[in-house]
Parts: sequence; C-alpha cells; structure tokens
Amino acid sequence: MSAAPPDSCVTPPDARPMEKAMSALPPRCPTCGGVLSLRLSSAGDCPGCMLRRAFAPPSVPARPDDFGDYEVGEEIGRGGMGVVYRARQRALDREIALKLLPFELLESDDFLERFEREARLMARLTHPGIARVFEAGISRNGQAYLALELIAGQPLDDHLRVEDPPLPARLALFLQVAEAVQHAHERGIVHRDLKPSNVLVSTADGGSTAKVIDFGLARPSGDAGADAAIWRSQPAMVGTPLYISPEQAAGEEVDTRTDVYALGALLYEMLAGRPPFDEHDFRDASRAEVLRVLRGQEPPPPSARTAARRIDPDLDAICRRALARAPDERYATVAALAYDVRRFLALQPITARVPTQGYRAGLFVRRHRLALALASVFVLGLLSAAAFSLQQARQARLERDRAEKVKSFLFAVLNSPAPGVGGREVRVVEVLSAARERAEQELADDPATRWEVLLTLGTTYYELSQYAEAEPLLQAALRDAERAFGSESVPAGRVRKALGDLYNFSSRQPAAAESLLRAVGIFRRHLPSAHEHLMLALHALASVSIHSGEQRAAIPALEESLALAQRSDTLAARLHRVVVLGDLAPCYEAVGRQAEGRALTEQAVRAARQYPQLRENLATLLSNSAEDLAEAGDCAGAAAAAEESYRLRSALHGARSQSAGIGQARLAQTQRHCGDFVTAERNAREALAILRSVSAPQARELFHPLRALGLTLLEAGRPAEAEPVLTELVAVLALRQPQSPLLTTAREALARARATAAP
Amino acid sequence: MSKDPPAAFPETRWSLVLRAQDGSPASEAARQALEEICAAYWYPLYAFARRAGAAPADAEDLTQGFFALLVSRGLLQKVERERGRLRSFLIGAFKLHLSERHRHEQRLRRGGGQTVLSLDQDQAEAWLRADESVASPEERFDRDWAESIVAQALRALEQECVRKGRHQHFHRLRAFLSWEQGEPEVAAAARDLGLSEGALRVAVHRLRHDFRRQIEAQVAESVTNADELQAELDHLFRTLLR
Repeated sequence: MSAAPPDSCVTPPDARPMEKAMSALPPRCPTCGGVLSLRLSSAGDCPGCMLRRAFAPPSVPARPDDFGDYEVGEEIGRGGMGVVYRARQRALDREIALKLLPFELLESDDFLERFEREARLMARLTHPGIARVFEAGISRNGQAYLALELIAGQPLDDHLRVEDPPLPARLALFLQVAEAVQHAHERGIVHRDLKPSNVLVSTADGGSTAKVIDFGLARPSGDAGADAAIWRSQPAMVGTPLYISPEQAAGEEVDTRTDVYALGALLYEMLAGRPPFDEHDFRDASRAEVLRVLRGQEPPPPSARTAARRIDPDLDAICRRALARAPDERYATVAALAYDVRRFLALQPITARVPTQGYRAGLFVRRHRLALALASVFVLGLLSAAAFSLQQARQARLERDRAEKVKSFLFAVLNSPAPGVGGREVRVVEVLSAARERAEQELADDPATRWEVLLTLGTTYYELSQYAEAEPLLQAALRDAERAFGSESVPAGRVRKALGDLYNFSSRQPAAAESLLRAVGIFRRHLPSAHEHLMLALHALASVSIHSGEQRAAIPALEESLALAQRSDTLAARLHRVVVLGDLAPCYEAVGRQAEGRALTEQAVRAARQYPQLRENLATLLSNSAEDLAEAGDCAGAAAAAEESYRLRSALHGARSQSAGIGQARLAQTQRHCGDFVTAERNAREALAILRSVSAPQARELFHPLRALGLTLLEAGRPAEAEPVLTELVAVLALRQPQSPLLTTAREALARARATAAP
Repeated sequence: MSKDPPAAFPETRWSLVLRAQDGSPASEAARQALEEICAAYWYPLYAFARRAGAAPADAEDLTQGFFALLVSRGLLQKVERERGRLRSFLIGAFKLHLSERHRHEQRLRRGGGQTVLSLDQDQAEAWLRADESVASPEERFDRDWAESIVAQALRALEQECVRKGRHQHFHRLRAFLSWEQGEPEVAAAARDLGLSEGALRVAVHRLRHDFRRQIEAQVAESVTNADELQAELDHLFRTLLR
C-alpha cells in the first residue's frame, strides 16, 4: 500500500505547525472571504478562488488608452467575449466599433494562428447582411482587438417587440439573416453564437435590413474544453442556452449545423414571440440539467405558444427540423433551411414534412393563382386547337365546342365556394378534387368531355409541381380518352404527351421516353392534322435526352420538330421554332459541330428579340452565345452578351433569383475564358451563394457556378482551393447528369487539381 | 438519456475497481487504482467518522477497516445503488459501515492492528481542528472531498510541469492560480522567470487552463460515464463556490 501521505506534494513542511491552525480565528481567503481549510490554504491556495478563476468567464479588459490608429471612445456593449467601444480611425476618419477580446483566449495554444486565419477570412466577408471586419490585430501590449463596422440598429428582439411586423415581414427578415449566415458558412466561418441580440435591424423607407454581428471570430473553436468551461462558468450566459445547440452546450465539436440550430431557435422566437425553451427553465440550472432539457425535451411547436398570429403547421415543421437534437436530423445547411422558408412563402410543399397525401392536400393556394394555372393550360390547349387546317374546320368546331364545355365546367367549379373553406385562399386539392368528383359524377356518361377535364386538372397539378397528384388524374384521363376515341387517337396521344412531360420533370426519364415515343407514334399516324402535336411531342422527347445529358440522341427529334414548325405559320409554331433552334445549337456543339451550333445560336438570338414572350429564352440564348463568343476569342462580344443576359434575368426574376444566379455564373464562365480570373471568381462565388440560397442541396443548376469557380481557381494556379469545388461539381453532375460529357470534363479537371495540389 | 454509448467513456480508476469487484480477477491495474483511491480519499472519511463522534483512534480503525473491506472486495454488493460515482459510493458505504460498527467491533479490533494505508493522524487532527465550519457532516464530507479533488489536480499539475521541465514556472506561478496579482507581482514574477510581462500573463493563463483540465481529469477518474462526470463537476462547483 502506498505509504506516502496523500497531500505531501501540496503541503510544504513549514505549514505544519499546529499552533497556527489553532490560533484565534479561522483563516479566511483575502479575496472571497470564504473560510479556508488548513488543508489547502496552508500552501497559499483557496480552492474556491482557484476553481472560480480557472473556470471563470474571460476577464473583461479595462478601457484602453488610444492605440495605433484608433481613438477610443465610450463603451457601447459588453459580453462574455469582450467589450466594444466606439472609436475613430484617424487615417480614414471613420467611426468604427472597436472590440477588445479577453486576454484569456490566449490560453489555447493555437489561438493566434486561428485568430489570424479567421481575421483574413472575415476581412474578405463582404455581405450586406454581415457587419464588416475592417481589421484584426494584436496591440503592442498584447491586446487582441477587432475593428468592426459600426451599425445603427436595434437588436432583433427589440425590433419585433416595438414594430410587431406581420408574418411575411418576419420571414423576410429571417431570410436576410439566413442568407448572411450561409454566406459566411461558404467561406468557412461558423457564427456559433447566433441570438436576437446579435442581429441588428435598421429600418429605412419602410423596409427593414438585418445585419448579423459578432461573427465567429475569436471564439474558442475546436477546443471543447475551453468552450465548455466558458459556457459553464457564466451565470450571465443564462440567455445563451436558449439558442445554443445541444452539442455545443455539451462542449462537443460543432460545425455549421450548430448555426442551423440557433437559426431554428431564432425563427421560433420570431414566430412565437418567445424562444423554444423558457428562460426560467435554465435559471440556476446546472449544466447537466440544461443539457438534460436540451437533449431530452422537444419544445412545443411555435403555433402552440402564441395567440398573436396564426402559425402554419409548415412553419412548425421547419422549426422542428432545424431544432432537431441530433445534428444529422437537422437541415444539412442553412441554405436548405432558407429554401424551405422560401418554399413556404411560395406556397410550395416544404421538404421538412414527409410529403404525404394528407399534407399536400393541406397546401393552400391562392384562388387567383389556381385560376392562372388553369388559364395557362387552356391557352395552350386552344392554341393547339387552332392548328387545324380548313379541311378539318368542322372537326375543329367540334373540338372548340368541347373545349368550351370543359372550360365552363372547370370555371364553374372554381368559382363555387370550396367546401369548408372561406376567404381568399382555397386548398388546391379541395378545389381540384371537388372538380374531379363533379367531373366523375356529372360527366360520367361523357368520357369524350371528361378526359379533357381530367387532362386539364392533371396538367394544373403538374404546373403547380404536384407531381404525385397529377399522375392518377392523367392516368384516368388516358382511360377516358382511350375509351371514347381509341388507344391510337389524338386525345390518347395528348394525354401520353402530358404524362411524358410529367415523368421527365419528376426525374423518371425512361418512363418519359416510353410515353413520349407512344405519343409521337400516334401523332405520326394522324398527320397532317396532328402536325403541331407531333412538333411539341418531338421537342418533349428531345428534352428527355437533354435532361439525361445525351445531347447526341436529342438531335434527330429536334431537327424534325424544327422542320414541322417551319411548315406552319401560327404564332405557336413561330415561337416554337425559336425555342427549338436554341435547344439544337448546344446539342450540335456537344457533338463537335461548333460552327453550325454558333450560327444557330446567333439566329435564335435575333429571332427571340422579336417576341416579348421569349424574353426568358432570350436570356438563355444570350448566355449560350456569350460562351460561344468567348471560346472563339471575341471577349468584348462575349462580355456584352453575358451581361445582357444577366441584366435580363435580373429584370425578369430579381437579382437574387435562380435565373439571375445562373446568368451570373455563366457570366463568370465567360470571364474565365477570357482570362479575367479575378472578376470571374467574384461572380462565380456570388452566383454560388445565390443558387445555394434558392435551390435544394445538390440541385442541377449548381453546376454552373461550381464549374466556373472550380475551373477559374484551377487555371489561376490555385489547385488546392479548386479541389473541393470540383469535388462538389463532380458530385452534382454525377447525380443530375450522369451521361453528360460535362461530367468527364469535370472529373479530368478534378484529377488535374489533385495532381497539382499534391505537395 | 445520453446518446453516448457506454464504451465511449474511457476506463477510469473507479470503473476499474468496480469491474474488479464484480468477481473478475483483480488485475494489477485495478489494485493500483484502489490504492490511489485510498490514498486520495482517506481524509474525508476519517473526518466524517470523527465528526460522527468517533475518537481519533476509532476513526482511524474505522477508516482502515473500511478500506480493508474494500480491498477484500466484500463491500460493493451491499451498496448496489450507489455504484456510479465514487463519492456517493464512499459516503453511502461508509455510513453503512459506521452503523454496523457494533457488529463489526470484533473484526475491527482484529483489523485494528493491520495497516491498509499510511494515514497521517496528526495531520488529520490538525486539519480537523482548524475546520470550524458549522455545516452538516455530509456537507463537510463533500467539502473535504472537493478539496481532495483540488489537491490531486494540483499534484498532477505539478507532475506535469516537472515532466515538461517547467517546475520553476509551477512554483513561481502557483499563487497566481488563487489570487489576482497586481502589476508589481507580475513584473517581479516575469523578472524571476526571465519572461516579458506579456509572456508571463500568457503563462499564467495557460497554467489556469491546465489546472482546469486536471480538475476535469480527476473528477473523471471517479465516475464511469459522461453523464455522471457532468453531474459530479456540477456538484464540485456547487460545493466549493457555495
């Protein structure tokens, strides 16, 4: 057995004399006043003070004298991570916020290295939603400081309390915050302390702008021990556990998903007016108790916490997903969270909910929007009806009468009050299913009319991206059409064409090809009357090939579709010609027929300029044209075309839309071709941020900015930075366009990046 | 509640002892762990016995007897519920031990001459007399326990410093762990160690950081999983910062 007295190492021999211990008063700690036990204090230790100091919140620096280029003014804020002063930067004569970091941060060995690295990253972070970091440094006396943008604005919680904005404004504000955070994540910066007081809102001209402050810098990261200690030792941090993820509270390693959680808590509070957990749940709670709450309890949905406004179950679901206790169960990225909020605002199904029949049936769609969708289907239907030549005048009249019958039937259903629903909003499924029921009953003996009602309803669902509902309706339409007119009839062909489109857009290309081939066969047998149907079906068939990245296979169908369009002179045919030309050009280029492709693109651009209906197509054509010109070495022409496309897209859909993002990415691609790597990189990064914020993760269109960015970095001699971008590019292409030659090119570029990046 | 699989928590001194008590042959490591536990925590038990009215010699016998029982592996089955944390086990089992003292009188006498560990009774008595707190015996046990943890952490910290060749640092900066030092003290310490004042402040912060790590490590040695670790740390804070 051990013979050594256990405390010999900490008890110097001269502290032994008993008289000392027994003299008058018990010794007290000069600092905390606590009674000291002889055991430790005899060596000069107060265990309470030692513990308090070792686990203490970082000390807050005293107000410093002016230093460097800064005149230090009054204190404007303080928190666990330092004190902020108003200051003036003399050389630039500007007001800034000067943040002095606690000295204790220096205790972790890698602090300086991390501080400098993050400062470099932060200095490049320019986003309207993020407070700028102008400078980061260590002053002569060892004080780490940050020079920050000075922001006028009130904390988010105050703003919500004072202004009480309506729900859409709240969500818009939330999206601003999410975009800013996503922007930072893309640059490798995690905030780690998102909460209402770190979002400042300023209001001007009736609009509100949010800026996120206090980004990531100089928080102990990757140092779980220090993190945990700071957390545990700050009774003042009672506010923070309200927004902190369970893994961060536990002192575990965190990644961007800790910000997803915090944003979920923020969204929750913006909706419910209070954070997910109650502050008094955490008051005086030990860390273990807090963790138990965070890990063990699911907060009630925001809708159950407020009577001030109606919270849609979709928003409950978005919060629940963002606040999932396990990071893996949360949204993988802030972009995915923002995407769902956007989809909610656009009245589309969100990804946070399992897409059950019942859920989709609960989707609200505004009445005018539904009417619009129906109307657009009708215009198309009538256009094709107008294609008949004089010989079929009688039959055409019959068709038109029937179309009229269908139309009046549907509008009658639409305009009658939907069961159980009042107000301006109707449930799309209630109306459409009511229409379907009435069609099935009232038109039971009239499959010749009913097929078209069902086709219209099915197409409407599909226009609203409700693929799962569209399919059974179209199948029913097909049965009716075949029953009334035969399986090789034009109506049967039209339903098959609609089914083919549906399969194509819901990523079932083989089924799409099969259905469209049947339709093409049917229409061929009904030439010349089915002339325009055939033209459209061939184009749809080509589109299936293009979607699968098989440009070569698309060419024959496109050429035939074009030839058919040239033979008729209806508006539909003329518009169609331009669209087909535009699609044909890149297919030619993909198989090495560059000259023909370029000529077609130019032709299509000229033609598209004549039709306002084709402005969206013109934007795409201009992007194609710009890439052609750049490859041919005409950099000025390329820049002009790419910029025109970008402007057009922004004007049509907004500067932060998917279309504009694609336009900007393709602008970057053009600039890369012409060797302007700096501008190309900036545009590609901005485009990537936009597309990430509006698209699903790994969406097809991400390949535009990823390709531009990856190749720019590679060609600019930065293979190590290009590598992760190209890796993502390959993943997106492999998922979305496995047959595309782009994938081969991307893989080669990635191999090159890896080979040259290797030390 | 915790999602951590039990295997994720490393073997600790206490879990080694517990496994040895389950009837598997006691490994050298388990015996070593038990010795360390005895050496580190005899005083809180001795003091508890004294405060419960035992004379110094009886308190020593009780403590020695208790550890003898622990070593002979006859104790753990009796206190199944308290097994998770060493602290609750020790106080729970020791109370049982005290309440059974009459039945154990004989055995205690037999074991009285037998020394399981070297226990500095003079020192213990000095510590005891200096402690005039009026808290309950249980609260005082907890405080003694917490001080044992701190003492062990300090010792481990010192050993670590010696290993890294920073023995001088440890002795010169030790006082900085408890008390804030003014500028003159900082300057003097910096001079003594041949450091700049900035470097000295960094050295102090690092020492505090390392001490914190040692506290966590010592507490970890007395539990068997992450939940208990957290609860035990919280208990330590509550006890010492009350």
